[in-house]
Amino acid sequence: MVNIIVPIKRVPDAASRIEIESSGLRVRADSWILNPYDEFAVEEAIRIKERFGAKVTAINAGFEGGEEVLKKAIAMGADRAVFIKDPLFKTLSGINIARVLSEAIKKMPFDIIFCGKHGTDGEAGATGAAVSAFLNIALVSSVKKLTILPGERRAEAVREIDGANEVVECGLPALFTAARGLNLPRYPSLQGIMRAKKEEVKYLDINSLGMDPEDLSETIKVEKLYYPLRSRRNIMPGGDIKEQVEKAVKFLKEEVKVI
Amino acid sequence: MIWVIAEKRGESVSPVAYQALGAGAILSEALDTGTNLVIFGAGLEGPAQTLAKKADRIYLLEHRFPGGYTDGGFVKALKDFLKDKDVTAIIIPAASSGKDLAPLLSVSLGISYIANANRLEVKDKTVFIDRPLCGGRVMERLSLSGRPAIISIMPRAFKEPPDKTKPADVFKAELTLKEDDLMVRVKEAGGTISEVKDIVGADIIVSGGRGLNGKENFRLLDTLASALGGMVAASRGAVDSGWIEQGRQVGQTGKTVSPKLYIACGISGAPQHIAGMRTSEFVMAINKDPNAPIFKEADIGITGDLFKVIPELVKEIKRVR
Repeated sequence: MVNIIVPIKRVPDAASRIEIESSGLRVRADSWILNPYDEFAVEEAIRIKERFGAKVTAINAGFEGGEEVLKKAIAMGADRAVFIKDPLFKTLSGINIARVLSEAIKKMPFDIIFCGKHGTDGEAGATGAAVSAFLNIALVSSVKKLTILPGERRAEAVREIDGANEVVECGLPALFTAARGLNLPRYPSLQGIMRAKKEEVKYLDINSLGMDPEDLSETIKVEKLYYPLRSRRNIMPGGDIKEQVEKAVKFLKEEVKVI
Repeated sequence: MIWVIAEKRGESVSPVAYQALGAGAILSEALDTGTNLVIFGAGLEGPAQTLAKKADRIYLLEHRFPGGYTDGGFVKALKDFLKDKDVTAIIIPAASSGKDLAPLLSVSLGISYIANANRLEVKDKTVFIDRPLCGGRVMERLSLSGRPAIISIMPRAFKEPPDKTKPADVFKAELTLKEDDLMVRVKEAGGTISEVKDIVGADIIVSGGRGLNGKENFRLLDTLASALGGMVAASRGAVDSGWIEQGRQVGQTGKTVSPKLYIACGISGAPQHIAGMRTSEFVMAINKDPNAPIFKEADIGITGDLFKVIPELVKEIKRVR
């Protein structure tokens, strides 16, 4: 049986109100969702499970709210949910989150690790790559098509780089990050939703992983969050199409200076 | 020392590598360190010559694998190369392979990583880094506490540095890589920078949405893009309708772009789309609905049928040029 681990995270919903928390150091949002790229990762893991038989474990490291996104993964078809919950994670960089995730993953059997290509909040894509480095396994990022050959312990992937497709292959275990186009994530079934309600989330923390807070010291300091100053001009020239176009082209020539 | 790391793809390094050298120059001037450039890939003499006046020293990490470097290989090569060097900061373009390379190298060297910097500033020898969060709705300001760090920079956020008075000394680094170090093997390379272009680096983007009403109508956008020397992109709606390939999608689950000019044609302006283009310098919107949310994100807006507006625009651009 193939063991698949899917590290997931929650991100602010782009469609909701997003503000700076009163601490000035964190973002607060009216609604948080499972990172859209992680949905592709969960979906692909479930498809591999349906095809070859696999155990899919969704894992989240955070200080709150992990249950919601983990339950979504279960409702989609993941088998197990692990929440590494620690107040320390409030200010942790992606690299250190990866350090924590990989400590937890080392204690489980795994053949495939599936992440989203990046979180839509920071867009760094650091965590998945760093997990592969901590575990010393191959990294294949931005995967648009994946063929797993469990018998040969090998995988072949199509990935996007510089706007073009590249075909690569690697041995397992390996870490893949999912890009849009890989699949169309399913909606949780009623049965899945019922199971997610019943399924217990397994809790871990820094202590139970045998880690020391010292291991997670940061050399980068968050000074502050602020709103970008740029405001749009919102010029609406009005008039018929010819008049509007003349004014718009004048703007492109004189202000934008691209003509 | 400030180190800038650039991969050669196709005939040269990407334009973002020049911008990374500009970011490096900001730090190296303020901290009085100098900037060294590391180029990796195959056939590096050419780029070393064109980039000669952009760095103090240039190191060539020439590979000898037919499929080229893959992450595992170049991280090991860079780790071996950098381990006995003085490092203040390492700057990597957050494009193509850099997005993987930076975090891998961060773990490998045991130093911190800051992604997607779009501004760098040095005050009293402390480096401050600004970067966008949540599609540019919020900015984050970070500082380095004097320890080395890897910084990736957003495409188009920094300018190419001015030429230095004398060309850099060029060194060839010796590599001791084995095939196994690569971990991933490239079976079919994805083309080169001269053949394909990623919308992420484009100066001008003409983007189409559901208002385009069909695949064949994207040819209309081609006429506007070529009149301005830009690239065509699209909203998720147009990609989902199968009118254009997914690699051209701008938005939360597509690319994040920061061109000088972004022209949104027949795009209503959902928050998920705005998240991918908010950092554009100028935005022009064309939409027949005067209440479309995209106009709030635009510097200039034209209300009207895009099938009439775009041909007029192309004509007028050609007239005033």
